[in-house]
Amino acid sequence: MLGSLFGRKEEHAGANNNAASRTQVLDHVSRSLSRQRPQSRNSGLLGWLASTQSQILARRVGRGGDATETHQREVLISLAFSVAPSNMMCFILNSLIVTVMLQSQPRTSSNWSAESPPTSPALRPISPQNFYDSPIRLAPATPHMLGARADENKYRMRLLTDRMFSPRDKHHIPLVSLGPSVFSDSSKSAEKVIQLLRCDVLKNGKIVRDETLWIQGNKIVDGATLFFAGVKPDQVIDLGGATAGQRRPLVVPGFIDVQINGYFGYDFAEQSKLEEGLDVVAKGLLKYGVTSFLPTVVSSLPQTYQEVLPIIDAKRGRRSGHAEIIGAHLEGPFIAPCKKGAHNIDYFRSAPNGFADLIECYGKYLDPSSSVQKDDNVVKIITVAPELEGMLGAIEGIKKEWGDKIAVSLGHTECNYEQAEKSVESGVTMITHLFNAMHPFYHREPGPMGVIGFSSLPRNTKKPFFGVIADGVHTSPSSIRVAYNAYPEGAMLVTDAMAGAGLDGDEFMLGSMHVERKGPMEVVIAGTNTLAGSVATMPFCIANLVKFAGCSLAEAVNAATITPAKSLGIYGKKGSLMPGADADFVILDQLSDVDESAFRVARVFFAGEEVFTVA
Amino acid sequence: MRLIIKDNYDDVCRYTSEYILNRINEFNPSPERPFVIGLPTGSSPLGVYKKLVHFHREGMLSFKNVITFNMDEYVHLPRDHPESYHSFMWENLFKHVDIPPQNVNILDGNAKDLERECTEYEAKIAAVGGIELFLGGIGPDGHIAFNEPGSSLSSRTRIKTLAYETIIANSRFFGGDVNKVPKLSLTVGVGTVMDAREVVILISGAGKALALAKCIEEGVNHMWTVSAIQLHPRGMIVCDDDATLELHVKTVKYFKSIEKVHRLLTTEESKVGMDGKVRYSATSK
Repeated sequence: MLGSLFGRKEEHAGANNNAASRTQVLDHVSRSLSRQRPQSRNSGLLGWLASTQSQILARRVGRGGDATETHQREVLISLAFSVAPSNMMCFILNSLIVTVMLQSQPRTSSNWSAESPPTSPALRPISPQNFYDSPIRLAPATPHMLGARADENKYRMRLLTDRMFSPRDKHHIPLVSLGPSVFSDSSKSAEKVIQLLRCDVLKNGKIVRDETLWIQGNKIVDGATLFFAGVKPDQVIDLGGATAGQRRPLVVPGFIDVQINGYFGYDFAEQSKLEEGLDVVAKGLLKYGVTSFLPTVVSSLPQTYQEVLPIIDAKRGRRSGHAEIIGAHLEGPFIAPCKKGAHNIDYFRSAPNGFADLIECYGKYLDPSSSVQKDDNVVKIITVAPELEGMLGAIEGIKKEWGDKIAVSLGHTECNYEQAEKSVESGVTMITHLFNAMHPFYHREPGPMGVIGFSSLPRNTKKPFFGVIADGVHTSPSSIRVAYNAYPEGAMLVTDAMAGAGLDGDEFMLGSMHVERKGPMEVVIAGTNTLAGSVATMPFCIANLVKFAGCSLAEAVNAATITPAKSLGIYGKKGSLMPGADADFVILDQLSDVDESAFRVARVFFAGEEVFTVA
Repeated sequence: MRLIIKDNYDDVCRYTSEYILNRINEFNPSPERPFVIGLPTGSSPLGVYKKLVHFHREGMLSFKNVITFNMDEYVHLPRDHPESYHSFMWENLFKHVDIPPQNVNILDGNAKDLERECTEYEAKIAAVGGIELFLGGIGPDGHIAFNEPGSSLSSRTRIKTLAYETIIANSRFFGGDVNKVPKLSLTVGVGTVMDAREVVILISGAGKALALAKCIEEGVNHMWTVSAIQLHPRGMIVCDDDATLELHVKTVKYFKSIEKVHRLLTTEESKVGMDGKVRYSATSK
């Protein structure tokens, strides 16, 4: 009788795949069982029952039903109550099997994500706090939010409220009694977070008023992202409000100087004291706000380059307390003899064999087949005179082998406008100290200056960046005004400082040449009137550019930060205060409402630590 | 309900910010007993935030033990989008003050489970002991937060579609393009706001005049959801002259005449404190 009863129900279940009918079947089964008297039950019947039940459940599970969990549990419980203790073992085994099959349900994405969070070792302090870290992320990034939340997910582990209200968190932490002590562990990790308050910040070349700047480790980060991820700053620097008659302090990126021949008595073409000189200059430049620079090697013999460049290469990179040496600027020897300036004419040469001559002179640093890595070359800029024999081919060779990694600059040249234009088409992207040591500007023969004046060059060539030495001695202020206003985005401030810069003496050695000081900011080759480089400092040049060119302080600072960075292809990492940039910045104060060019370098930060404070 | 009528928007902001300053300082928050405040977004509270930042910079106000709950947030707008309410609060308030990040609560419009986000938000409010003061604005259709006309007056934090009028009003922040404005939002409910121990509503401008009139002179009505403030034991509306354009002259005169008493309550020499307790000397609590 029982068998037929169950047989009929089985057919029903088999024929009709409706979940409701299956429910009915299981209900019938459980009710029938509860009506049974203990004596009529035997293990065989129960075993058959168990298998039926599991088949039905398996079919339900196999179809991915996920709303029936509670129902299945009810059925199991009802079956359990109807079973005599002697048959409990069968039943337990059966329910175990069913439970295992239930567990093998695929997890739907609405429950939790299968990914594990990307955490960098530096951000996870090893501390009891890790005990609360949930291994499962609550809100995995979706494609359209990847950019926005990629950084933030790193910090989600520190978001306390997330952990408190996550479904996996069984630890009930009182919300209110948590004070700053919970986050004091953040100082254990290597990344210290600094917040600057109440500053005007130069962002993207424009002043943003009343801003905050967040620095983590040695990079600038987005404050909102860190804040909403629960990170508190370890150090808060309040720059204070504006006082009467003075503007708020201005935070600007660290200055970049692409042409420094020497400083503080050291000359970079002299190999004997070069290592010491690079260290001293790198340390000393910080007080002028220069946080990155390119040591410049004047025209020399090939073996000098073989000796000097490896030393500069070894000093590259970020070192605490030193301005960063980005690479070397090779000024010469492929330059025009009639525009030698303060270089030694004996070392000049042309390139009849084109690119091969350059390789022969500079050695492995220009040889594409050498061990020097393509994107890790110490040589960053080469100054050439394009009218020399074979130079256009050499320039094209450089561009072909090294692409954007080496910038070719036009300088110490007597080329006319057409030759300058051709060289820009061949790959010249910069002009070394515009107006100095080059063909003068004549209205029917503009020389290299004409390349700046063009609204756009033929065949879509980009106008080159140009450096100006704005010390009032090398170029007349009105020439700077004309050049700057012709192409403001391309104007770069360089100091072209020589070994006597930063010193107070009257006589120095520049390479093998005697130079003497003629005026407070003027040094000439001894006995002549030829300028021998400058003793200008970068803040002096910036103030002068404001006065000469009539631009704002922000624009003058752009000429010392954004434009040099763009010319070297490192804008974004340097010369910028946007998130992701290196934390090299300068705080200028004593700004005046009356005199746009007045400022003082008050504090200099390199890699997130303060390296200079004005007394 | 108290109605404070000021001359212009600047006075409204000054009054409200001074009121909040005095409220927080009298409450004297500590880590065990923080001051829980609800904050709005939009153009009305901008002046209030500026002045609160100014108070903080003068050293008069500290946010160390202040817990904030924001009213609303758009759904599926990236958190760092310049028009998201996270960005708004960061730019206008949190960036400048010393509020600890864990004290800041804003609904997450990009949560995987939006309904759970809403219920958890209610739970968070309950966990800190309820909101002490809820600051809010009003829309031209009389809505508070995104509780559009027709919202239940006992509603809690939930997902809400935005009314067309609100989308048009907000399109000015999205470049005038109506299609760029999000159509869904998470918002605290009218019930959530009215559960706060005090409610302060900012109403300024002639565009809100009709809403103000409907909310305080007519009955409690779900078409003008701010009218629920009539049932709140400690409601306050701060408005400027332009917003009273649709009120009866009698109403305006009545509330202005008792403003003198209101003014006394916010000065240091006041005998009655913010919480209504009588003080026997100016400095005792």
